[in-house]
Amino acid sequence: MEHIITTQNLSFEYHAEEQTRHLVLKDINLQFEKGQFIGIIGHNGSGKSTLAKHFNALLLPTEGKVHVKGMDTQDTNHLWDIRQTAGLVFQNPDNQIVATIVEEDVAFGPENLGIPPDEIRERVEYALKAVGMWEYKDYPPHMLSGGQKQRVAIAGIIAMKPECIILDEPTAMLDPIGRKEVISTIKKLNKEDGITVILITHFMEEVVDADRVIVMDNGKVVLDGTPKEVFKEVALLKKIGLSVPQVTELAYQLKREGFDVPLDILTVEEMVEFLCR
Amino acid sequence: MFRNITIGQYIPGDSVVHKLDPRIKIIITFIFIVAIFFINKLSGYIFAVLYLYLVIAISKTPFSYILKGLRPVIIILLLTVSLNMFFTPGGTVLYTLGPLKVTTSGLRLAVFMGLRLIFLIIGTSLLTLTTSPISLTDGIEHILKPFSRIGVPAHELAMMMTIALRFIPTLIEETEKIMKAQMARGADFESGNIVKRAKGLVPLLVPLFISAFRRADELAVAMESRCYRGGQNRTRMKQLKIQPRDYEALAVTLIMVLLIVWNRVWTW
Amino acid sequence: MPIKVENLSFVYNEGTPYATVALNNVTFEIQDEEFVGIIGHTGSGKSTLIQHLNGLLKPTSGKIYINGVDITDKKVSLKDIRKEVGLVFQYPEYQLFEETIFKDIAFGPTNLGLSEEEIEKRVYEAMDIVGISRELADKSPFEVSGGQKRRIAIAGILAMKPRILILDEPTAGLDPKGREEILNKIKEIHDKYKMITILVSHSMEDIARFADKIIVMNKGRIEIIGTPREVFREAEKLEKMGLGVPQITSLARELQKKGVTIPEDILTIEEAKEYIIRYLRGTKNV
Repeated sequence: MEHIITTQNLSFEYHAEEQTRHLVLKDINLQFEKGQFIGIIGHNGSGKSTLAKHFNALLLPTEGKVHVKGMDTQDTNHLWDIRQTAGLVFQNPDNQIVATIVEEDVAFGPENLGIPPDEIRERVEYALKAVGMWEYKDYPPHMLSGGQKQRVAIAGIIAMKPECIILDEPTAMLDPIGRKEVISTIKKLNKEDGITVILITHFMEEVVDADRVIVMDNGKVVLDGTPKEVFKEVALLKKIGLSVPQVTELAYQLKREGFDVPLDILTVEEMVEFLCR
Repeated sequence: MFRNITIGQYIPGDSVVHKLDPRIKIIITFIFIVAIFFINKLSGYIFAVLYLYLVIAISKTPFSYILKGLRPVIIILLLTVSLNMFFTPGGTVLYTLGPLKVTTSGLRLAVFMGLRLIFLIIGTSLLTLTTSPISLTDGIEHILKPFSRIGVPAHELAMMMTIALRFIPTLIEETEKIMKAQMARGADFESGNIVKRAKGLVPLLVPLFISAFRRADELAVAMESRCYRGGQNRTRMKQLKIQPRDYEALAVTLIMVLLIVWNRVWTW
Repeated sequence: MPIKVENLSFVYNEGTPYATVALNNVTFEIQDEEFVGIIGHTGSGKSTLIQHLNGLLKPTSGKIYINGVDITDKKVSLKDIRKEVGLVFQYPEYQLFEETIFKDIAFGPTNLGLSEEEIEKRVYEAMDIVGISRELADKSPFEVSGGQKRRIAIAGILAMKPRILILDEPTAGLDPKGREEILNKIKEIHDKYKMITILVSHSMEDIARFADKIIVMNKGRIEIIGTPREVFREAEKLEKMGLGVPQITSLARELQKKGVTIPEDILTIEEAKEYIIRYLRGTKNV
């Protein structure tokens, strides 16, 4: 398997004032396989956003290394290649849209890369169609809903032809409809276009179908595995302030009552199947 | 709800005037303004009026919008006219009002200055009424580009204007939200004298500034992660291309200029 | 302080080409001490509705009675309404502006024209209620964590001692732990002070746990109103609006379809557990 992003003994220190030092990331060793859908969950302040910023060289490790497609993020010669390879989508859709017209915003990245105008046009069309926003290409961003704005932001990254998209809580500020729009867009990009997706979130439902889920707490990786492997650790997840889907919680409680219930039940269908088989 | 406001005073349309290259429109406006100041006889304004009439008719701009553009400057207009009227020496005295004298040359200058100002405002209003702020920004960036070698920050200026245009609606919406939130806490933005009102704005302005700085911070990070590194090596998706209609517009403008020059030099 | 809303309609930008109907003939009542959940999509009219309840918006037509007083009457002072009806906006931490936490919480009570002793008493009381240590009183509200900021903002409303408390998506943007903390706090305040509490939320799970009554808004109208059980029985209707029911409720519905003895209006995991245990014991005994 080819690795798109790897971290070796990654630690990151943050200096708030002269004396105080916060160790935000502690000795993180991760390898991300190409083409996977990876979820990273953790509560606010667990270090997950800091980790995300290391994946496209917005932050550099205090200790250890981060490699993106084999390029060391500390090597400034590769800075722009790294940012083009691993695109980052942020939480607040309003604060990442630069231009006053949707299509011009999507063009912003390719323009920065110095792509010829005709090719930019093709890429913008492709990217907006990929996120289902092509018919809004002439809209000013402030006329769009939160979910639509976030899809435009994703299109802005797609137009740079990245191999990996990292999304830092892209749905935290959206309503349920916007959340659904964004998640199904990301899933489609992963499945149909083969883009590696790293989704950082605190909504467990969003990573139930992921290939892999990583749980962070206090700057460390505490769980790493398939969703089924991770979510059955109900007690640990609750202890670090995360929730599990209601049916998983139910399975956990039934188990504690002495019933032989598998703990890796994540959906209503699975629960119904188990109970009524 | 402020959400539906249009920025500036652009009225969307698809006339030839609307479709002109913004660079050409800016240059034409500039030529027009120079020409206005070149006129030295009342008869010369006939050509300027005809020219403006042509532009208004082709662009189908409602005349009321043009008058609206004049409203905010009416005080400046009156001031200019009266200053010129009362304080220009020379010529025969037509009328005396205490220490103030209205002379023939004063009256003449007042009329000319008034007309110049009116034409200047109508001319520039027509530019902003028929050109979207975005293409105006593009136009300015392209016109300034040759000067970037001598240190004019053409790209940076255009980028700042774009970001300002992008965030005006967002900040207006935010202002409305904070205002309501503070009103729910009993804040009063409407009554009291000037000092009290100015003090009353603190609960609105502090959160607004904090939010604007936060947005600016986040936007800078987002731009950087999208490979933004200033204007160097940057390409643009939208290319401005001079079309035949741009040459035609320029030709019509030059005809107007020639007529004005002819009027100044050779006629009565 | 019962609330009665009669035929309330509101049109934004009336008389302009941008006119949009935000509320269309809305009628409902809320009794004393009730905990009411309002649910609906962005643009369903729920934010417009709550802004009417403390006079921030004036209805295009219709009446709003609070404790029998028609607040749409021009003679009623807005200050009096806002004293009784506290409204906590979405992301309330963005309204903080003072140098210290104490001063910020004191902003509302000061605007009410209270005496200094009374203000001080209320500020500390409000800090206690939301769980902000009194030691933080002189700290800047911008130096504390996001969750604390939000609680400070809520304290700013509580210090005005409203008898009706309205919260617009108080958990937006928080992580699961922060959501849980805020929701439990709201429930605690409601139970202790017996004020009418109106909670606007996107989360069916949250509303199902606390509300005595749920108002479902859609396209400016009240689509469903009733107890949580009554509302969640209308699962198909909710799904059509794109709202859905809590996961545990849809589990109960699916199980019922398969012949398991379980009511379709299950609201909590505990309830579901009871029926499922009975079912599992039953099948095993057979």
